[in-house]
Amino acid sequence: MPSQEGGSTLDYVAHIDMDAFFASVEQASNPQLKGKAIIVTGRGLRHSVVTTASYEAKKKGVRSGMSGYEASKFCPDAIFVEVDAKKYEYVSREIMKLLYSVSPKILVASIDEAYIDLSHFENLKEALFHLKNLKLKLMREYGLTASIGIASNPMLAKIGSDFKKPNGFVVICQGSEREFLKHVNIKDIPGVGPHTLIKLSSYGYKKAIDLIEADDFFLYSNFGNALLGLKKALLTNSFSRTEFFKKSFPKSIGHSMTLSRDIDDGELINRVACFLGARVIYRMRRKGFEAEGVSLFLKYSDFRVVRTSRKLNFPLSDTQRMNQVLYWLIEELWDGEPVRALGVSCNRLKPSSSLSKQLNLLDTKKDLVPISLKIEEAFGKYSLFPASILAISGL
Amino acid sequence: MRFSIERGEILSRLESVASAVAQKTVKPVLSGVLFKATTEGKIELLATDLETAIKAVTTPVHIDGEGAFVVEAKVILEVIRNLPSGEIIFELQDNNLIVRVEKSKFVLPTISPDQFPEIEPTHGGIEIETSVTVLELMIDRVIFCAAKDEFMRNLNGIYWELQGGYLRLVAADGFRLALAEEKIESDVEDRFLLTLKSMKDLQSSIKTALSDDLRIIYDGAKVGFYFDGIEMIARVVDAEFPDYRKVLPKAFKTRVVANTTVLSDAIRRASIAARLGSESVKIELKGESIKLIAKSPEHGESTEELDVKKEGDDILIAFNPRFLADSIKKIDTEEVELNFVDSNSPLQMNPVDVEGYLYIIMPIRLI
Repeated sequence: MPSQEGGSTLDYVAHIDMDAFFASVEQASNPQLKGKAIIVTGRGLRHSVVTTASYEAKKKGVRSGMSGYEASKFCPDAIFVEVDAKKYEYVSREIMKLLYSVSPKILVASIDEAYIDLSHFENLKEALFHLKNLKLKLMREYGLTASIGIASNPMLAKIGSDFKKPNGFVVICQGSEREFLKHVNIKDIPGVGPHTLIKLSSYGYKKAIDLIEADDFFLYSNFGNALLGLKKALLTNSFSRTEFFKKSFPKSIGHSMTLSRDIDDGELINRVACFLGARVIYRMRRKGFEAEGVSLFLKYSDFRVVRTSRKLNFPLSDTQRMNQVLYWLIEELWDGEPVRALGVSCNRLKPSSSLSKQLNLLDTKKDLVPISLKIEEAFGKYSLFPASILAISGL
Repeated sequence: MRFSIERGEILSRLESVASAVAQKTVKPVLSGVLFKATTEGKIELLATDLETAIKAVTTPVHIDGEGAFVVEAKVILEVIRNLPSGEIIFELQDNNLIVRVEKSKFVLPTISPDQFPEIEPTHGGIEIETSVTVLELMIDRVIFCAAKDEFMRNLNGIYWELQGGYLRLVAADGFRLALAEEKIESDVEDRFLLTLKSMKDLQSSIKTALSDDLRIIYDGAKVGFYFDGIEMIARVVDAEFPDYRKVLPKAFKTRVVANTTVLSDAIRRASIAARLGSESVKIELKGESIKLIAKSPEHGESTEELDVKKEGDDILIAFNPRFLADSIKKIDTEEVELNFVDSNSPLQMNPVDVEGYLYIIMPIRLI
């Protein structure tokens, strides 16, 4: 264990990203799946969407977000495995615990990626030794591989971890950042969206270094502040560690569901949305948040996706109001065509204030969320849902 | 078509109809005002967002020819506001509106009036008479309690009730309720709900009225407001306002009378610490004093103590300070009365010795 005392000497940070996490966990937990093309989908297998594909399936062109049907065209012999969120959450928690053996400061970015502060190490060599050891432990104890990027700022570290996937280990030494960015495609910079990418390539910008060398005024006048911020984040080595590794709020909490058959019954759509809405509320309440915004998306049977969101005037934390909001959003958004999938999310999150204890004048029904949470704790997630959605949700 | 009007006259008429113009619309014609020359030699101005329509009639100094045009409300308002006072000449030439005063000249594009929706007037129905001043005050006393979120359709507006010789306006957002009533010379009984947007339109339109007479007609689907040459038609909301009488407390256990300004100032100060912290203010009533306590783990604590007249039990209760502040602002008597039941029941705030309006506010659970 490296010393945690002493002044911060090393200006480096690491980003660790588990390789094809869900698929790898499945392969690790079932030896028969090892070395085979496997596709982890939501409930409903082929009717659902690909959440993760193993590298064997990725090689054949399967990508996350594809429909199961589409994926089976690319990779007809792929084995479909239904997503097992509990298992992944468990493994993820175990992995994150392991990270604390490397550093006291960890920022968990998602279920399968995290940033690791390296400032407490004496020198880079020592840090790299511990990180390599971490990779060995992950392999030995869980049979999983991870890609790690090490750089002077989080943005570069993240690009580094993605640079040589799977099982990558990329170190970007201070002073060699510009050289490294010559090899990075602009599309691999986090935060560059498809529209920006098209615009950038129309100006002949292909590599990350082109962005670094671009004139600030040109970037500002064509893209506003966004790219200037990215450019700064790529080159900085003076980011605030305390600020960065501070526990941050999630930006949004959401749930979505691909239905086992397409539905065009408005009442049923409302019920599924309210079920998802309740799930979002439960999760939000467990984490101690309330929301000032709600979003809804619908995916039609022709794969067209429409979405809408609303800012609320009073923080939301109960299912009754969530249902009201959802009825309204569906009325506004749904064009009557059959729906294949839908999702609900809460955004503009903030820690629950005492306003969540605000009593209602007109609706004197008891707040059922605490009881529902207890039932879920005892009987597991999804132990409560309206019977009417049983046939279409695959629950 | 050519006419001229005094700047002051056309500006006040335009301002009173412009509030009905649609804010966000896919139909460009709805962001405009329709100008129409009538056969009596007058000019009619009309704006609508399909929920509310406002029409004003004005008499031009000169008028030649007939016709109609629609012009973007924002643009024409800004042009006229910035013109010098005097007679403004309007002339329609090849789908363009020429606006001229002395040496200033604007050429504004117009939209075809054929696209402008037909506004249906009210058909028969009940009719009451009241005054602009009275209605303006009543709306002001309740409108801030209406739910601002459109998805709460039955609360996103003001509920009108005509009953027992009274006109009552009620607004509620689920956490608080405001009620204002006024005696009227009519024994008709009816009720309807109008959207918050219509009520805001009425509020801003009524402000420009120079005479006080006001006639209200309700035909079962629409409500017409007629005042000072202005006609506003609002569609009623097809949703049921909750039975507000059920939530009005029947009896109280504690009655407090305080100086309105002193209590209002104390609430305002307490809400500073509350805003930064728990967003609630605790009220502790003990003996003849009231204590307002707001705490924030990061920004400290504030307490305000003031002497009051109290009858009944001691009580500890918490509120969203914004709700208290919003309501006490509308109390226009020197003293305010606070009536409590217990810490989980609504508070009733009302003026002392004056009938006609009251506020009901739900507390925040203490634990």
